[in-house]
Amino acid sequence: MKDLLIFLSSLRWQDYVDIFLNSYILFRLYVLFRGSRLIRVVPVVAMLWILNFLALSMGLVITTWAIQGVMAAAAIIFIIVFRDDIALVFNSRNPLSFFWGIPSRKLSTPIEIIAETMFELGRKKIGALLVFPGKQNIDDHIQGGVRWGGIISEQMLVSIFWDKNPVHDGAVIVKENKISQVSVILPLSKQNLPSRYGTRHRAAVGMSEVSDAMVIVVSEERGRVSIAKNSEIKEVKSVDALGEILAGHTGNVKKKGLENWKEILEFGIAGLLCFVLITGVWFGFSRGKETLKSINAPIEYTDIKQGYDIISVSTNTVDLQLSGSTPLLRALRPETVKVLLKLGNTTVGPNIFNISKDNIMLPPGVTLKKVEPQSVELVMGGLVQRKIPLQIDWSGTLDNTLILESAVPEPAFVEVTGVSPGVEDIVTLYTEKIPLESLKETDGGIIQAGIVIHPPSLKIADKFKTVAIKYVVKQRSSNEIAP
Amino acid sequence: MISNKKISFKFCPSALVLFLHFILLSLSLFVFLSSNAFSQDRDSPPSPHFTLTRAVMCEYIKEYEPANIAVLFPISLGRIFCFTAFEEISQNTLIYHRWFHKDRLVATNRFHLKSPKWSTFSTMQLRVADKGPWRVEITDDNDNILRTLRFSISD
Repeated sequence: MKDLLIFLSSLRWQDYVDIFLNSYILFRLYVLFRGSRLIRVVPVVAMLWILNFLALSMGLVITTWAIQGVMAAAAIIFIIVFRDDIALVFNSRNPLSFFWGIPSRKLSTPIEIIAETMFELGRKKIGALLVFPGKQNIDDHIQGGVRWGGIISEQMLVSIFWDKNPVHDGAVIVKENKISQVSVILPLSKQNLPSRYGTRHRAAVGMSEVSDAMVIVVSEERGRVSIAKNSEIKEVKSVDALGEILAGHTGNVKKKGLENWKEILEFGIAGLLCFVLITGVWFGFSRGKETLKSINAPIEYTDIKQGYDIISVSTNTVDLQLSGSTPLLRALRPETVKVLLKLGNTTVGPNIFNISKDNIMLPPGVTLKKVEPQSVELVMGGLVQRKIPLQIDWSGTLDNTLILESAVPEPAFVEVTGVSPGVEDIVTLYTEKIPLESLKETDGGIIQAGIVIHPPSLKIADKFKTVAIKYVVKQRSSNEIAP
Repeated sequence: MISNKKISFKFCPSALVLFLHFILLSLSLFVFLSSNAFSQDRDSPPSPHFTLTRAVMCEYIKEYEPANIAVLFPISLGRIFCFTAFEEISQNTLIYHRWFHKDRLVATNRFHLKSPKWSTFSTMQLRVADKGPWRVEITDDNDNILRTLRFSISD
């Protein structure tokens, strides 16, 4: 029990959602296709799948290929053969009905009128043939016919089958509360029916063989009322019995308590089976045999600080060793794996990042075993401040009787903001050219000069854009001449 | 251009210049202090084996002393000098004069320092293309910059 609780706690909430959602979808498919011919194919598909699994595990290569081929072909064949059943389910007026509710045939067929009229026709020895289509389309199986569209009434039914009526020969198609077609030719049964049944009965059975329709047939000779359904024909003795059968076929029957419980039990068992099946499939996929897979994933950089830029990286990709179930890893696409490095805390210059599980985003069920390389070195560029010495750039010629003894810029160092790396290579800033002809004072003085900003990307505070230069000149004496 | 430079240097034992130093003490001190004020970057770390007491640019060397100390030299001078003096030299060591023209290294001169005092100078032959801003970095054997002298060559 404790192990079970530990195991359940190891599952993520996404895993529970995954299992319950798919179980419900499978259950809904059962509910929608329940009763149709398509549901009968499920055991065949299951059998093929089991055979394929056995052939694969036994190493029967050709058999495996053959079964897989049959399954692929069968999928296409099923869609073609059961197109009517599928269309019936998905052609619902309300798309949300796929997710909720139990489908029912909304035929409001006037059952009592039909039942009573059938026996009335029997008493009058008037032959009749009424077709009540089920879920399947019967258009492919009938021939001829005249469009009618009349609302069912006793008088109309009697008049249609009156032997002087031009359309009395053939069958009547009943849809909901209307007679949609009259004088329709039905396919004849190939069974060896007893000799008391004539062509009309043979046609009724034939129709029930090729579709899920129910056919009421009234004998012209004996006046008996019979029902043909599921390739069988049986006589109906009373109006009430016919009414019940009609109600059962059209879905208008009011279920009794016991039948309700039966349906609830059926859905309960189906739901449970769907849950067990999906759980098994889920564990097969996500917790099946563990395998390893190596992929090469690109590194994505996020949260780069304003004014920063990546100058160089030691690698742009990392090799990831991943483990997980074979189907999961087989379905793994490289774009679903992300290696993210957040550069919010980087500094200008070299930065080393260790790549851990926190940096790697993997699909659910896939775990990281190893990453190579385990660290990435980035050289970040960014704005930095530096103090750079300032040097005076003189131009022209100084009077040869003078010596420029000193010249001091104030300030001697200028604070600049520039992009690193690059700004480190600047070792000196120079003033604008200062003409030496302007230095005529023998004692010295102060002159103003601008600074040459090179490279232009450098930023200098306004207070540094003009500097004061204190200089001292002295008169060159006659004996101060270089030897 | 570098290959055309003629670099020369001299050694002067401190004992021989002791008397001269005494006479010129006040003048030297004045010149030393004033030259420090304008031509040097003073952020150099002290060396454990010696002390740089003086570093100036001058037009010529006269009696082992710098003459016509300046920060601007006309190209017509032909050559200029970088003079350095060291004291408290605890052990023989090496220093360097590294000449830069517009931040481009032009020449490096290596000098031996001997205990207890030592003065030395290097010189640079000037050509027309040498006009503009210059600097000389005085460094120790571990590439520590002891002082930077900034000057210009003009027409």
